[in-house]
Amino acid sequence: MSGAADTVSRAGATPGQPQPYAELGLTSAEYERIGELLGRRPTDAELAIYSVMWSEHCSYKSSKIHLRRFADSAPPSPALLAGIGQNAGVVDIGQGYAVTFKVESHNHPSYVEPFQGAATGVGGIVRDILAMGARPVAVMDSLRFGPAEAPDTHRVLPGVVAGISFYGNCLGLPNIGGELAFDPCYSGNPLVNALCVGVMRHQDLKLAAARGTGNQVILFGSRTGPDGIGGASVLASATFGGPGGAGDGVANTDSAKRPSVQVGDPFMEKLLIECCLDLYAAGLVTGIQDLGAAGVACATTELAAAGTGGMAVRLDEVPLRVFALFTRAEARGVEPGTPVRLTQEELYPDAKGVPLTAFKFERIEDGERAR
Amino acid sequence: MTARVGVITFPGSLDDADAARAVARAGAEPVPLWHGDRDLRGLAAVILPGGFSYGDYLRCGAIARFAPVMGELIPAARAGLPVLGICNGFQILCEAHLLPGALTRNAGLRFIDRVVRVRIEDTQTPWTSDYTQDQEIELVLKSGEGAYVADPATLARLTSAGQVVARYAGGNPNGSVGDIAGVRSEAGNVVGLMPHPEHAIDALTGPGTDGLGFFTSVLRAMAARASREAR
Repeated sequence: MSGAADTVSRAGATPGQPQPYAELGLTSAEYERIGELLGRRPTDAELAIYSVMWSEHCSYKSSKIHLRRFADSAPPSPALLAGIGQNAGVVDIGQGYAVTFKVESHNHPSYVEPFQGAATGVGGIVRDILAMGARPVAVMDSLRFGPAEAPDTHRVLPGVVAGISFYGNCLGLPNIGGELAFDPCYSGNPLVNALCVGVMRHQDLKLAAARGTGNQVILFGSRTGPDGIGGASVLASATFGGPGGAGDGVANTDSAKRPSVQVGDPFMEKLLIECCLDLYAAGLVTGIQDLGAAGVACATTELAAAGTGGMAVRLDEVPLRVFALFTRAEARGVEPGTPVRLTQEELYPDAKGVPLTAFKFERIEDGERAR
Repeated sequence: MTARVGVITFPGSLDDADAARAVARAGAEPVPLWHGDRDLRGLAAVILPGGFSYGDYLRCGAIARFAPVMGELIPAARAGLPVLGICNGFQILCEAHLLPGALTRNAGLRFIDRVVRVRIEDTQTPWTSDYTQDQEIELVLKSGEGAYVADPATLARLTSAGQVVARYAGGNPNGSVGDIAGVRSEAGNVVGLMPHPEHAIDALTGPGTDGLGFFTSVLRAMAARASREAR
């Protein structure tokens, strides 16, 4: 762990310094591509950001070719107020009202740690609905497990069901339905999908785009902690068999052996729901993005990429729950004092399931997308 | 003037909106109170709604009992202010010692969410006067820690003084001692109830309209109290 921050100038001066890209889930080809894009090696913070943003979990690099067909084959409809690319779809239901809903998987975390994996899956989907400007009103689930009599199903199923019901209940969201099936093909790879529905007025619709030079970016929610670090790039990577894959359950970069499946805090999320709805009602919000598995790195860059300017982010001012987060590989883009440069083409949209928090203002500036 | 009934929102309260809706449906004006408020604003009655105040951390209601608004509510309740605690609100009132006994983990340890039959055994409180003695009503019970307990001496006193407001009628769902679903303070103005009358005021969204009586009752009690004070 280096004491001094790995700055851009230092990265330029030390091109051959070995970096732990493979441990962060990046291939050699991807690491080389980052070097080409930047014209130098990435700083530690930049490498951490690339590793999460280019993970399967955040960029859908292996499945987006299929996912794209949804957009291509869906007939255009005036009832669709927001569609693919946004946090959730929004459908006009008349009389000035709209519903928004989205279903999202949290398969691998739920397999590793059934209760917290499934619970944080609900937490993530609820925040997606909230980020559209709606009040979440209900959840549903769709579950697939291996054979009902298999010991591993007995390990996974009760925790998943309890996690889903516990988290939704604490938020006051009824689980209004679901479906369940067992099949040998889901052994070791259960499917845990949660859906959330929200209701809003048309004028309440919010999009994940930062607009307005000089506007402030405010980070809020629960504090950034070490649990869940590496979850996106390691747990949900394209190669489940690799380090940190099935059954591992701990971030392999972390000597403290903290869980890479995040521990949910439904109480904080309930406060977040009411806080967001109050902020919307006060007319203070121009754009909003929830923090998914890639946290600050993903939310800030996505907001900037979808918007009209760039964003200066002082990562060292992100409030943390635990001090020890400030270590090198663990830092994941919160290296103190490190400016981060990203060009627009490297910024991938779509955030996923895990909370972060606190209060920090940043300025959206013209020119660069993130700094 | 429309009667004004306060509904306290603690961080983590979930049923505050439904409680306010029930107050409005009964014909009164719901007034939102925040847990940090130090002023009851001259309200003639107050409801503590269900939910997970302060995340149920430590113990259900144990933190909410020390909220600033409770500093106002506790003396007001001892002075006769009609107060209704529903579910988590009941737990908070017990923690605040405004009601006897405590709510513990359900027998069977599972969260319960279903319609239950409840028998109203005391119609003398400001919250139950619109019911008839031993009337059976249907309300939703939704709680994980709804099993009412009290020591034998307290139970004997509750029974002899008629402080049991409601008992489960169609079987005991959660292991509450004596099938107790709700109790009142010695003076009768403070009532705690585990099932949710605020969810039973509209046949479209609840099991029926059996719960509305709690909110129309308090309206009548407030009017009676106002005219008494006017004389």
